[in-house]
Amino acid sequence: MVHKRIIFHIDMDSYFATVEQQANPLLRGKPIVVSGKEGSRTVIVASSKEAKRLGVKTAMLHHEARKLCPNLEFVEPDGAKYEYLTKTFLKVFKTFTGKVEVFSIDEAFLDMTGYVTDWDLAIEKASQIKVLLKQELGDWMTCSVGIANNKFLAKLASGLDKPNGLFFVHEKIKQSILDNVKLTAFCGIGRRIEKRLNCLGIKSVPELRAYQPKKLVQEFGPFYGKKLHQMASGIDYEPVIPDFQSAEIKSVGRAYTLPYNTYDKEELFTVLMHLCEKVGRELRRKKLSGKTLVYYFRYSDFTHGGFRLTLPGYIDDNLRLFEIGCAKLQNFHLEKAVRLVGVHVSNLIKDYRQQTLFNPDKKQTDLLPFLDKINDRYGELTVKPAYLLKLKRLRHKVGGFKLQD
Amino acid sequence: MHELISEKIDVIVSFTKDRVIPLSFLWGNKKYTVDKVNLVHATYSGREKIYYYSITSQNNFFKLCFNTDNSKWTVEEAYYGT
Repeated sequence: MVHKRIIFHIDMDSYFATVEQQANPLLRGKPIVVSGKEGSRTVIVASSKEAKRLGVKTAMLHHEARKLCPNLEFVEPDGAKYEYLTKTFLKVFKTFTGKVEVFSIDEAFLDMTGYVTDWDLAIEKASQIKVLLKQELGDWMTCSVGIANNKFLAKLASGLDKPNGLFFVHEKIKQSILDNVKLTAFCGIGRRIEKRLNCLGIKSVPELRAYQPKKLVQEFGPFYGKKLHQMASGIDYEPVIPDFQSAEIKSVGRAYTLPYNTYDKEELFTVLMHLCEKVGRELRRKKLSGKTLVYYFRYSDFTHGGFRLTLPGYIDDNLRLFEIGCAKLQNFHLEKAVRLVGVHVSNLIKDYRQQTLFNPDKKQTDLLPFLDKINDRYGELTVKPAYLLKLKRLRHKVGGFKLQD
Repeated sequence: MHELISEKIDVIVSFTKDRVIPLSFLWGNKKYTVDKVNLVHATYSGREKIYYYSITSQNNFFKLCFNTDNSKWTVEEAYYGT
């Protein structure tokens, strides 16, 4: 009998690229990447297993990837397809346990405690999930499963036997596994944290474990310092949070990389309006309003600029969001040419209704639910501000993929 | 070679259990037999539900689209094998 928790972490292998190969078998066995059109300024969103073997990685620029792999094929992303398949595999997971936490569009945690009684059964269930996923999604789709007694170790485990793997971290082998992985293999340690750890003389997991927790807290703060120390020992008490108990949304934002660098504010206004339209729609869909607004730019040299302000009241109106950003941007000195524009709203409140008695924007506020209804009924941007008619180059979808409620 | 198309087609389908499966389609006076349905996904455009069928026919890939609102079939994409 097992008294500890039994946690699965299931990660779909090279998800977007594998979905494209599932849809089109002529792409199977070939190095492909999911990205914008070749030559555009987007980065690689996902690479197939074959491309990964040749060193093509996510976030690489097109020319870098092409240099590594001259016969690389580019496939444009299809967010709706990935979203649909994610919903399908989540349905499969939910037939095994009531506690499924969506970690991202291609990975989830399953709390199997109580649903299986020992580790052997857990491994058997994991194998069943792998078979069922193939049946439901397609024969080319594979996933890697990590099994452990906590989320941290399960996530680490799924990355240890990729692709199409199944790795179980037993208490007895936990230490040797931890000692043989790089610090960056830990979920929560990226390049920047690794650099800071290196500066403290910590270059391996045993060194992190041996480091005084007090000093880690001094360097990284009480929460993250303690967490780092626990990671080195494979300790994690975080529960699996099912979507019906999912954490509160902290912010809503959208960003767009322009097809070329520009100083042209008129062009930036148009992009800004589209982004505000998307952010406003998202806020209202989630019944949220926010009062801290951030408008930001990424310049041609990848440095950042922009402005941030906190309003006295909350808003969810895209037009207000745009007007505020527009007024600021008009007087804002662009130091360099802009390559990316972003809008971000935080400091959120649920179900806020503005008092409209003396509100000059009453008409607009009253109109919004009707505009939303039309766009819900006939599709995004069916009714849009006339300003957006200028929009020719911008993609219909901006700001990546996410699961809709 | 990959091609974006978006042209109307006539399709013969089978209604099997609770699924609609395309068997063959007529496009440009040529009949294409569906050898395999590799993937089916659906999306909404407003409240219109649209199904996409990623299929293979004679070593070619096609993405067929079925709009449930107007019952129209289109071929959206093709990728020709060598």
